[in-house]
Amino acid sequence: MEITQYTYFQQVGGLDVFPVAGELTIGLERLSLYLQDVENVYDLRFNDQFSYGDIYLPNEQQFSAFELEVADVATAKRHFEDMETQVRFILGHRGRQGQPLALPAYDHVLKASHLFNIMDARGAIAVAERQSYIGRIRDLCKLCAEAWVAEQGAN
Amino acid sequence: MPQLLLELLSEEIPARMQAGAARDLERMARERLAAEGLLPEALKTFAGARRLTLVAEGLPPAQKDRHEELKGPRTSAPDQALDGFLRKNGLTKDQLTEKDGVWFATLHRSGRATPAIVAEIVEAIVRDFPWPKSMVSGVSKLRWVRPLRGILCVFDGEVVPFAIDGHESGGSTVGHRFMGDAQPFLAKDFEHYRDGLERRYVVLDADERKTRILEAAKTLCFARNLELVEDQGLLDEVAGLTEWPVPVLGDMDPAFLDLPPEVIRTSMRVHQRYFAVRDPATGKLAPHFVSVANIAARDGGATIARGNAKVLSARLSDARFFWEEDRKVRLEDRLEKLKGVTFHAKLGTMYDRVQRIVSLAETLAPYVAPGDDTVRAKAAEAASLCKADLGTGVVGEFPELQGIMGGYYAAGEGLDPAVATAIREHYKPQGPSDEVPSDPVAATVALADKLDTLVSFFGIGEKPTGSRDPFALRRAALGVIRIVLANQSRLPLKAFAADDLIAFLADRLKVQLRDEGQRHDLVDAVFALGDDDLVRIVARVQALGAFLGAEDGKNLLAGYKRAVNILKAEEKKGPLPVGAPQIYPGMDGTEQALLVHVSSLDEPLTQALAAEDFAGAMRMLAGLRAPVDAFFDKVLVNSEISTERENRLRLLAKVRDAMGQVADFSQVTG
Repeated sequence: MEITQYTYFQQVGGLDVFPVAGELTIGLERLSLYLQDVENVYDLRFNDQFSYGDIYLPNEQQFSAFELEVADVATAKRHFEDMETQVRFILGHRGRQGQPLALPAYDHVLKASHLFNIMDARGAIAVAERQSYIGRIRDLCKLCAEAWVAEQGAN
Repeated sequence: MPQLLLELLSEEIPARMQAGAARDLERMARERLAAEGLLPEALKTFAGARRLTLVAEGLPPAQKDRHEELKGPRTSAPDQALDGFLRKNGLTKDQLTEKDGVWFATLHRSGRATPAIVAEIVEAIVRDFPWPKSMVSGVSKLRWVRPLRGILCVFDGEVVPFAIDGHESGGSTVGHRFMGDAQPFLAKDFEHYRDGLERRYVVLDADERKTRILEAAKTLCFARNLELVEDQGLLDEVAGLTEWPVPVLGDMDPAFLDLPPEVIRTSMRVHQRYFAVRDPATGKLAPHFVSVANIAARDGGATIARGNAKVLSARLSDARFFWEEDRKVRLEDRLEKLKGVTFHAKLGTMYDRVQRIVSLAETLAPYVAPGDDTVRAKAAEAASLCKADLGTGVVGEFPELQGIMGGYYAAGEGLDPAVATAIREHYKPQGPSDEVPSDPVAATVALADKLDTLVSFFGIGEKPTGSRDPFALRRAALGVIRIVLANQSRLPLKAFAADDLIAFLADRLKVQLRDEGQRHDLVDAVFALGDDDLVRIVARVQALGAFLGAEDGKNLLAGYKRAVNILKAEEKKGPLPVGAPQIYPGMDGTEQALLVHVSSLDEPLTQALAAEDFAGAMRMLAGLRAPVDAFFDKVLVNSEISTERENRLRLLAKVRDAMGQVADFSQVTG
């Protein structure tokens, strides 16, 4: 069973980087399933007193209900568009030292990405639309990365 | 003669890219060695999870020396011309000789040593290698499919020294990641290399890995009175994932056997790369699987089998969840959702597509199943539901189960079995080896599905060009042809398809008939008649093939060609005489015999063609052979008497036209 994954990040924010960064991810839950010889993740012992399920099951259930069944698609869509506008708005301004606000702008890209995931989970995005949404998020990301790199280059 | 051994060691190469990489390496090496005048006696490449290997036998130690004579300027030419020539070729005047007033230089180019050339070629191949996807690893900027870890390059027992972006070549490599001593070992030639790898738990040859996997897996199954469900694609893949493949038999919770077998097999194959196992007595899936480990475990694989079983359980539990959820919603109630699924920007939603398929299915039903009125309604019902499973959980997880799941859900809802079968089979045939739906309802929906694809994409100008066929229209066209022929459906294509689409279908049919061994000129001869009924076209081609395969047919063809040539030659001189040939006083006996014979065919030939008795029509034509041969033996067409000449031309035209009703014989070669 796969418990780790190693990724070489060839690009960041759509820009080629060198040297490339490596990311090693480890599935702690998966490892624990093996170590504790347990079938269901919620049956894992979190400590002597609580199971993993005691702590995370309500969370999982509530967010599943929200993201798969309850979330209002029209609201998510409107918020997505707001975030898109916000990113460009933020990048249009500068801080007191004249610096671009790349990091706050990127924060809003993450929000847009999250809203996209909610719409996707609600089944509101058709196959053909999917690519276009992903492309929009990627464009925003690239704008932030370019602003950041421009600032780094200036210093 | 010296041997070249090259190994490019890297991190794990995706299995799907390995066979192509072996071919590309072979092609590039052959081309580039040949361009340098280095021709190996044999060259072979290997690809596996971590290495691309090439061995070339019988290379010369160096290029041959080359002598060439260079022609310079005339001795009378100005000095600048001579200076230019000397400068360009790096010569001095005393190296020139004069012949007939022209300067000549004889150049001796000594051939370079092969290792120097190999170093250049390997670097160029590594840099130009056409990986579908490549990356840099952070160590250097060199792009390779995955981080490159080592280059072994040995020529005639010696390391060929070079470096590519800091990756230095050497004479050693390593064996298996975890088994063996993990120490690098020297390989002075291919034998050492291959044996050294084997001792360090690496099977170099992909075919060898496949053989070992298959044999070991079958043995494991046999010992438990089970049978491996063979899967060539999966075998190729696992042979590309492992360097030391060790099949392991694991157990699955029998409770999962209530899932459709396709779901179990697909989950095993797609998610886990396990082979399914069946009970030879019932032919049904057994609660076991075979996975292929990349290691010979100390406990004989028991821990691996247990771990794999655990993951499979998790996957099948997911599948069961989807399967149970899916069955809570009727297919009919899923149709609304198709309105939100774009089929193609210019062709509307999947819902629009379903409406088109329904209407096509209704129109097609009487052609597929003439006289059976029940087919039309069932085909319409099946067509309306055929894409509904695209919104289900199982198909979302396993797109390759589209159609199949719809069939299960339809059966579960208690829909007519013919409707369920049609939903299940409407994507068929998916390739030349896939079977054609035989039930008339299924055949109707399958035909409607493919015709809609073809008509729609041709309608927006998306025709396949060269190797580009993103919407798999060739496959759809072949599907239409095979369904129509298998069901012997008398479908007038012109009622459904525009000229360009008919030409496209005709082209696919030609390919299909050629693949079946029919002569392509015969296919052309029949297509020239402009028919749009595939069943009739094929019947004609077959009859024509049989006819021309026999002696009479061949000879008659010769007679036909002679008649047509004469008519063509005469046509150049002026318009051919019109009207029917007549019997006239003093007519030559053989001429009259031919006229009587060909005239006697008028009616029977028309009748035979109307009855589509092409073999009969061909037999009638075959009877013309003797009178036609006799006519050309005895009678001079170009008589000096113009009435005779004209009558004979009319007679030849009549023979030509009679034969032309059966096929355009002018398209037949030989």
